Amino acid sequence: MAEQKNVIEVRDLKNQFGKQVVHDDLDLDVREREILGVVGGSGTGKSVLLRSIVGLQTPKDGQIHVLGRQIFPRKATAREINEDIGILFQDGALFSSMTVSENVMAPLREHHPEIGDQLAQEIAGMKLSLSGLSEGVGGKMPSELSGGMRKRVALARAMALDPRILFLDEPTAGLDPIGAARFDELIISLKENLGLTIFMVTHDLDSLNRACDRVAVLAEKKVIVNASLDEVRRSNHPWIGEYFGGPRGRAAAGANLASGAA
Amino acid sequence: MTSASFEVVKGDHPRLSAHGPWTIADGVAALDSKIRAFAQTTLDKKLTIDMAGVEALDTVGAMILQRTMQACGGRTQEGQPLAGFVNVTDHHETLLEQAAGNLISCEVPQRPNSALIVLERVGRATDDIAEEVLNILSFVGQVVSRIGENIRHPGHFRPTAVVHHMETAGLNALFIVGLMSFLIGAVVAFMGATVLAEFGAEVFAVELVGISVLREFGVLLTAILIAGRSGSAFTAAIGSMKLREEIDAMRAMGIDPMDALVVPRVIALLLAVPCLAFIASVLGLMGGGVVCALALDIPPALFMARTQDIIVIDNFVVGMVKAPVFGFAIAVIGCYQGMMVEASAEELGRRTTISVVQSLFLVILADALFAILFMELDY
Repeated sequence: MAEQKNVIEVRDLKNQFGKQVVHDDLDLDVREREILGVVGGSGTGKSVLLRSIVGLQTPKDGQIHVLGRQIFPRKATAREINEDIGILFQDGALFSSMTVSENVMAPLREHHPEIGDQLAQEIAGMKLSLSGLSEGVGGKMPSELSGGMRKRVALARAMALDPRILFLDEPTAGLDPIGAARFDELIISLKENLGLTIFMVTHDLDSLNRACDRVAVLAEKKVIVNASLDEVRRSNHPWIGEYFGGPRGRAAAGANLASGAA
Repeated sequence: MTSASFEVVKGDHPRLSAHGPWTIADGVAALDSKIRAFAQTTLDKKLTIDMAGVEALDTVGAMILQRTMQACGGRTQEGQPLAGFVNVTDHHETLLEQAAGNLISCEVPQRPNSALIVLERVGRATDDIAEEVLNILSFVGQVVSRIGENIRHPGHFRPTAVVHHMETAGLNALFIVGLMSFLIGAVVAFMGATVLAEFGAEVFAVELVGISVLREFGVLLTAILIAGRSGSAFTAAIGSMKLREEIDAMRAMGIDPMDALVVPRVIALLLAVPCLAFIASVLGLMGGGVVCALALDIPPALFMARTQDIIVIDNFVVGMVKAPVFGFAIAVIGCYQGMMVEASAEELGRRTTISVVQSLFLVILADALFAILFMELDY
């Protein structure tokens, strides 16, 4: 395989809250059209890393480039970046005062004021359908939806502007196994059909097995491994051993082998 | 940078040639109305779409093209090659197929007559008010019955919570309530004396201050401040607990949220508002006294003497009797609106506002009713 282009490059990142250092000299590359799974124990700063890359968190030190633009130290304006990235927050972060379709239309209207009402509605309808939601959902309020549906709406909103990179913060947390598996399939099909790069913070071992091309492991304030799942599994770092070698890790790996053999 | 464009050949064999980057970032949305108009002219004719000039395509561009094709009857069956499109690259084909599967036609709904909307809203609002009044009355009933239950079974009663709420809603409001009352007393004395001086009756400023502060201002100002300060806080606190399912958790543990949240707050205000009103009345009198002494040449001794002689205890009683009623109304409305919060953070804000408006309204309504009552009783 030819060397792929990096769409995200993080160098020597340092994040610090008060005296607590979260990241120290962290390096990370995300390649074009891959699904990168980011794992790590609680408090290792997975979400902080995501927030730093999208510009919601100002790091202490380091350099971040997204799609060739320098995010930190800040050179690109937030608006330039926002059109090329979509973010799915942990609990959806839907605007509670808007209907589902208005939520999906919000970024469209903000970035493309020329858009007509009917076209905006049609785009919203298509994105919701792409996210696996039925037609009737558009007029509902976010509070009327179940957790899984909220995530799908949030995904539709994240994709509203046809971003090149999608950031997902624990997309399958709180979903039942069937819903989570469907979400994995959805993400894979989006990557393949739309050519997206996906940066996914997750704790879901099945998601890692099924969807992710590469896995980045956060520990000791750094990315200790960033490689394919098999390589990560072979690493002899104690935390990785515990994570993938525990009962749940082995079960997920076994299930994957079984489905691969079938 | 080029932007999205297209040219068409009309007639019996219409043809649409798309050029440039057909992405939302490159202005494909601006073409929408032109394309829609073109689609209207080609209904039921076999349309060909030439994709040779397309440099880039995203889901929006694919959707618009696919929609135009389908409007002309060119349906892509699942698993079949794309009907009607020519010169399509593999990548564009994937996108076009995906758009075909997820195409949703939506009509922008017509706005109904605005007069009808107004009428409908008036009707709904009236209905809502009637329902709200009933709900509040039923909530008052529940609160009273829970308080009765607490008296019969003192084990349910939570003195710590009562004391806590008395501190936050009462003691912490002492400074602002006292200061406001002092200033109002001073203003009443000063304004009254200015008018009374024309009749040579400056000394009656003492009566004016005494009666107005003791009967009305002391307790009314206290209630208004507490409604704005604590009523809203009750709604926000209980409402956010409701949003985070804390109240459901309590119920599941067998803790009655009425006992744990509502009754302590109601009792706290029932006790705290009279105390505050008393202090407010005293400070209001002092404010009047200070102005009388400094600006009106009525020495404190005379002020005291006239107050004691003329301002009989009745005025004080009339004022203080109202205080617990106001406190009860504020606490009940604050807790009721908090318990009614459902679903969203926006609702929490709305309910908090309603809580303040309703408790202010109730306080002033009750004050008016008291005024009529005491007038009839000749107090």
